Amino acid sequence: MLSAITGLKALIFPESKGCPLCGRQGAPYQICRFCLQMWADLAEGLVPCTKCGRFHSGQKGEMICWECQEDEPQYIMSRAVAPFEGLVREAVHYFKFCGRRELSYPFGELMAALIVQLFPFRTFSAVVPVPLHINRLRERGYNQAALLAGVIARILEIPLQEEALLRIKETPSQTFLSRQEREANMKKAFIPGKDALLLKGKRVLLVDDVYTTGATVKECCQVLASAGVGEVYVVALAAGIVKDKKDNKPKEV
Amino acid sequence: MPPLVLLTCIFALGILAAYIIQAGSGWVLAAFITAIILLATAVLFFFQGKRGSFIWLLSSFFFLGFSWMGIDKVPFPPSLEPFLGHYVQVEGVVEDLPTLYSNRMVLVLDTPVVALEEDRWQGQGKLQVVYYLQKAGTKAKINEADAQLRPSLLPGTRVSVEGFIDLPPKALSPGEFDYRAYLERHNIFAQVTAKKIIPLGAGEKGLSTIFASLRLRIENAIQHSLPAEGALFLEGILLGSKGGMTPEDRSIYQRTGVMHLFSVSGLHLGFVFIALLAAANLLKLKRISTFILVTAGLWGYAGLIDFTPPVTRSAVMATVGLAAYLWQQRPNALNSLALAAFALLLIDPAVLFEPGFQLSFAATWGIIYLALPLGRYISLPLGLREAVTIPVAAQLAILPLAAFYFQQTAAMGMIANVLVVPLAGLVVYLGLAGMVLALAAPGILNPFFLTAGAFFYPIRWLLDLLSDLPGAAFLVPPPPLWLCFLYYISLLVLGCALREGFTINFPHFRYQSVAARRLFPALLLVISCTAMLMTGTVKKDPGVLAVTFINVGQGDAILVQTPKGRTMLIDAGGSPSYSSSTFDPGSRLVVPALAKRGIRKLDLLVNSHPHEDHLGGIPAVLANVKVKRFAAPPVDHPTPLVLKVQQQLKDKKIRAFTLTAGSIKLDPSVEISVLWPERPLLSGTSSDANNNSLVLYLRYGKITFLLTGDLEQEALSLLASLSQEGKYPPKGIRSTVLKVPHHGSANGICPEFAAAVRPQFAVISTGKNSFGHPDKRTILFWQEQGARVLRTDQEGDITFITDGVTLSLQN
Repeated sequence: MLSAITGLKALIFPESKGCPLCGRQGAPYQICRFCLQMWADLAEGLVPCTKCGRFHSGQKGEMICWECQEDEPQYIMSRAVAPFEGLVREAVHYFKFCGRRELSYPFGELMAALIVQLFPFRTFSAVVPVPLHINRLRERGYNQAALLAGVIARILEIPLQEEALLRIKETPSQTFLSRQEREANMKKAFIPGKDALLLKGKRVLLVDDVYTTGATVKECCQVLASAGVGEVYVVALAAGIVKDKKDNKPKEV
Repeated sequence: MPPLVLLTCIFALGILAAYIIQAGSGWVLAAFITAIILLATAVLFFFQGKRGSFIWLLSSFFFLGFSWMGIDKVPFPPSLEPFLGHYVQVEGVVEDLPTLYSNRMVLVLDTPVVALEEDRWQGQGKLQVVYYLQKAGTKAKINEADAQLRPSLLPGTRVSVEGFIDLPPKALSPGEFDYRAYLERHNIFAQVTAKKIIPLGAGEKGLSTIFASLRLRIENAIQHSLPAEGALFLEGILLGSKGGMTPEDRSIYQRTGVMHLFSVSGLHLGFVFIALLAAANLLKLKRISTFILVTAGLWGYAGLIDFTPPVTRSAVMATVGLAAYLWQQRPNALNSLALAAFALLLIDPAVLFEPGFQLSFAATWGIIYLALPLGRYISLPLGLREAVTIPVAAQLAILPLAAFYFQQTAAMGMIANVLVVPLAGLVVYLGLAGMVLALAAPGILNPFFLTAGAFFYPIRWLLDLLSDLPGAAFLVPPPPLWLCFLYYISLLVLGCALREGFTINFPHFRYQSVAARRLFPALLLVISCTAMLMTGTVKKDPGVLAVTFINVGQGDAILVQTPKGRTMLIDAGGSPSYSSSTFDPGSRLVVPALAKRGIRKLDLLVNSHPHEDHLGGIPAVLANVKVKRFAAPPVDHPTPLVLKVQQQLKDKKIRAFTLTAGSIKLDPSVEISVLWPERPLLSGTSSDANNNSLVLYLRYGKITFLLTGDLEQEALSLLASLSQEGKYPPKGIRSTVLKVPHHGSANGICPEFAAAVRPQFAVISTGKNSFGHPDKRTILFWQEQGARVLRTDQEGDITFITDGVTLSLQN
């Protein structure tokens, strides 16, 4: 009886799903303008590094962050939608750790829009997600990067190559590790997968959810390069903020 | 999309399907059983908490709609046929308060018993009774006995009616409003033209009886307080009665796009809603009592208006909105709109096909869906912004429907609405106060009605001014279905883009939401669809000659379209002024026929002679179509109608000239000669006006048309002898197609004339009349001459198309 009443009530006063983050009424499965504005506000006053896409103050007028200046990554360039802070961090956590896999659609859509604008006139032969170790995959049930890559591949009509990379080393969570520890951790974590040969000499798009220190992505690039892949572009939903270097003065460009 | 929107759309689709395939009872039963099974599955799934219960519900609603349309349908009873065309006695129960028009009263009888001497008919279905009111002149008041009649015909009353029973008029030409089909959808199969109506005594008092008597009381109070014009206006605005409107009024309201003021809807209920809610607040009522008070007020008002679609729609939406407010739910206007549509379709599925229903829902949808997001793009102070966005949104949403039903676009509509709606709001506000007073204290001079009625004059002045502006409204051809469909789809996408589209500027890139990316294409599509709606898809240079005999009932209206795209109209029908008919074939049939062909400009308008069944429709044509030249025979016939046309010609600065025998230049490829009248004009004949009719002779290649106006025997034999003398080389008046003179009257039979013409086709342009046109002898005569006789009263519009060699017939 009670369910009949709630059923009728839902017919007459329907509640739409609304924004997947804040619940505000509007188009379902789409992050609302208010949430996205807050994402944009997080990046206010910051500039993305033209190489790794992480956000930095850009106070000295330089375009490339000091980390990339010291140690240039192998990929052509990397971009992210928003800084990995506050609301964005929260949203990514929902997506990764709370089983909210339906968030992959709005996130992937954002990333696709970013790719179209920031990597214009580049044709990619494949979208490759950063893989998850098999044990972690079993535990979580899905690979968030693969979900994002799937959405991007569908929107941009690029083939998805999930098997191009394979993760063979089960690494603990990177969250509390330093940069050096992460890099060490990542050594020999990946090997080329069975589809890697297909990508020989091609241009591919590597997809990850968060770009913090770049250790994971750099390692993946290394493996892809060793398998003969031509060029790698990287896209992530969120990227860390590069703190200004305290002790060392940044090099003059 | 809100769930009820989907369900209601599917339900309506089911109704449409049943209507299109004319589902029989077997189909209906099968669909009903299917619907029940699907519904049961949906309910079972819902209670088990399984997914997909909504899909089952959706499919069930399609079949429900299908069967609902069928269940309601009563087939035409063949047993009624023998009674048709006879003078019968009918007994039945009045269904609604009779509708009063300026010259007649119309009522619907339920459970009728028809008696013709010994025979009786009784069965399912209803009858419509039309009673022409006795009047001394055109402007005179209705006589006392008739004035008393309506109040005695409250719903539920048993009445006895005597009169001729017949089928309602049917649409003959495609696109014409089909009155018979309209009545049939409401299970009304025949129409009785009553000579006598006798109330036999009140039946049991139902709710509708009470509403009707309250309504009568308000009408009386309005009529007592105001002069006739003002009363008519106020009754229209407050009670939605459009019956007394003259064709001129109607045309002005339509041209300025304010006709919606005369159907009671959201504007009115909004005031009731606010007033009652304020009262409830003052009285500090609890939630439940507030709800009861306000809904009772809303639905009481809706009852007074006889639950027409617009008022019911508004009442449902207001009720849902109120419930949401009181019980702190999130109201969803689109969902409430769908609920209202569903409720109306449940009561009467046939309402789906009514223009009133479609226009009302389309306009409201536009306001809900488009007005608010449009406002976001317009920077005006609140209130002023709505005064702009709401009319714009409503006009956008009804554009194809208005084109379809009225063949007109009110270009001034937005401005007229912005100016008039606030004034009309004041009228409603005062009128509602007046209604309360009228119900409380009948018989006194009502100050509220007096003030409200006074607004009629400024409003009317404003509308007159606007409708006279050049380009205020222009004719549009009825759009093809695919164009309507495309228009609404693109409007839907545009609305979605406006509502949900947004752009966020990140420091490094600009994010446009999916909906926002569709804004520009959708806008482009809406604009191009609108342009297509406005211009139509008419060829400028058809390359063939088309001659159309437009079915205007008794009268003539002949449209000539030349191969180079020039247009000529000869006469425009008309109702005789001595009859009590207020039907104007000019605005109702001729102008739409022109619009349908995409004609907004006539190169030449010809009046064959100044009789009403030829000239009567011309004022409407002059008002709606741009006319370059006007021609008539040099006959002096100063009737009020002729003077009116002359005044109009002068006002519009149209070149007018008289024609006698000679020729007309319109299109070099078509030779048009004027054969008649010869100077000096005939006089002392049985009808000089008829005998001096213009006679036109069209030749395009080998094909010829002879258009004879209302020529009678005297002139016909003269014409025939002139032809024999070889006045009209090379072939005399030999014609492929002849318009039979004088609507097929016997005084147009003239053997010498027939011998000279020898037509293949003889067209008789006639309709219901009291002269006995067409005469049986005439039809027989022309058949004996070897002509195929075509009648507009049987065929509808008759169109001949020729390339100069072959002739094809379309109707």
